[in-house]
Amino acid sequence: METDKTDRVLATLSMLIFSAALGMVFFYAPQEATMGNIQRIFYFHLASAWVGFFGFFITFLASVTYLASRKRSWDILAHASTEVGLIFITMTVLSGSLWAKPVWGTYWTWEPRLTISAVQWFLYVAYVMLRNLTPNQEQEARFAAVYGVAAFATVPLSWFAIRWWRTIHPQILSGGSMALTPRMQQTLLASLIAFTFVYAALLYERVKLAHEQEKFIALQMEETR
Amino acid sequence: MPIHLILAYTLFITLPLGLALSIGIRRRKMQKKLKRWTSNSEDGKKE
Amino acid sequence: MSYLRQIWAIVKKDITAELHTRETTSAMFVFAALSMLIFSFALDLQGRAAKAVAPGALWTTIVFAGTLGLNRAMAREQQTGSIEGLLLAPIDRTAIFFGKALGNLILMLAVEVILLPLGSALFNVAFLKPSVTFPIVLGTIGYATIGTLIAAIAINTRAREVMLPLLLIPLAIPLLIAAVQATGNLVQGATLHTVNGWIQLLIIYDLLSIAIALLTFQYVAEE
Repeated sequence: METDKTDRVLATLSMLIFSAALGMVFFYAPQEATMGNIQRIFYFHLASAWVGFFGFFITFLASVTYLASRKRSWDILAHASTEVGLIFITMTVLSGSLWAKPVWGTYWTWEPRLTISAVQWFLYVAYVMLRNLTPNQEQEARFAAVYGVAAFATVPLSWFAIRWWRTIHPQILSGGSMALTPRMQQTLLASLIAFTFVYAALLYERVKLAHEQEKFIALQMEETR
Repeated sequence: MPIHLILAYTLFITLPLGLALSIGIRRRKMQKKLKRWTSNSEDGKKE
Repeated sequence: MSYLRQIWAIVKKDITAELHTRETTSAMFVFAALSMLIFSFALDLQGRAAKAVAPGALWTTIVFAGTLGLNRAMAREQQTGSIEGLLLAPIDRTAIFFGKALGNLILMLAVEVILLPLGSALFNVAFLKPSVTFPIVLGTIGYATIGTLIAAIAINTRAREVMLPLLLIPLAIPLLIAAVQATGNLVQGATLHTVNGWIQLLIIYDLLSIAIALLTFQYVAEE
């Protein structure tokens, strides 16, 4: 596969920082007092939640810009950010579930962060299905952009609604507030940076793929003229 | 180390890696197609 | 034609057409009644437990009956080709949207007129208290608004009717949470003052969906 400098830089940096963060999670961060080692899920879980939401935000920005400019590259960016972001939200939901079982005894709980991740997951999946099931490419771009805008706009409202909903049913959960020592904070920060780089690297690759596909289609159309 | 912790971090490693590989494979296929297409049309032009 | 007259013209046309055939509303009525019945049987609860699930059963029914109505309305648009006619006319795009949304809202409210007494009877709760109808109407407005926008998108996809709930329900989560909480608390005896937060969230959601529709419907309805 041909790669350019940005490909290689992003890939290398992501792998390095990811490995470093992984090391910090297991060897640098202290063991948490009440939960034990299972708490270590928290670092990458929170990092993937943040990046998943960020990816959604990029899709939103790209969708708005696409509607205003109608330039295909913005549509490509919106689509790519969703595909990559979906991976992060999936990891958030799954890791949250794996955390919940030992801590709360159940694989699922309607805890605010898990719930909002699940909602975002469904929004992402709906977006992807919409793109796959719209036959006309021009319509696909427009519809996806409108949905990208609407979907992101409802996320803050969902967040508030879920928070209020869950604070009046405290018997279901009370965990989630954790005192973070400096080492823990640094591990969390490293995890966030690592995941941001991984997102950027994957996004770049995905966008390049889409542009290569565009080029191919354009060449095919030229030939058949 | 708890099993759930190991499972979670396995996911954290394999999912992004999986996507990277998937994109990589698709790009390689696309680049091959592009190369073949452009070299074909060049041959065609030579004739 | 003035903006408001344009909207009213569209609403009148749709409602008159519906009054002739009654196909959409009858389907929605029957479906809603059946849904409440199923909840009643399936959950098989008495007394306080029944009261506790009643708001959830009500709103699930409203969502599904509403989705049915939205789908039918859009499908009929496509079949009769009237959407192209409307787009060619010198009518503001947003007026078309509001006309459609208002029509859908009226259908949903009509179904709720039957649904609320039925639910009150089946679950022994006071859905018809004026304070309770307030969040129900607010929620219906939000659902009809965002639902009309999404239905316009969904009907143009390959999966057509199936796409609508898939796209719409995740968007409607804040609305549903607020509506069920407000309805539930009020039915249990709370005052409108105590559910103030939820009411505000409903109003914000309604305003947000109207804003999104105003800004983006033109992009959906292009030809």
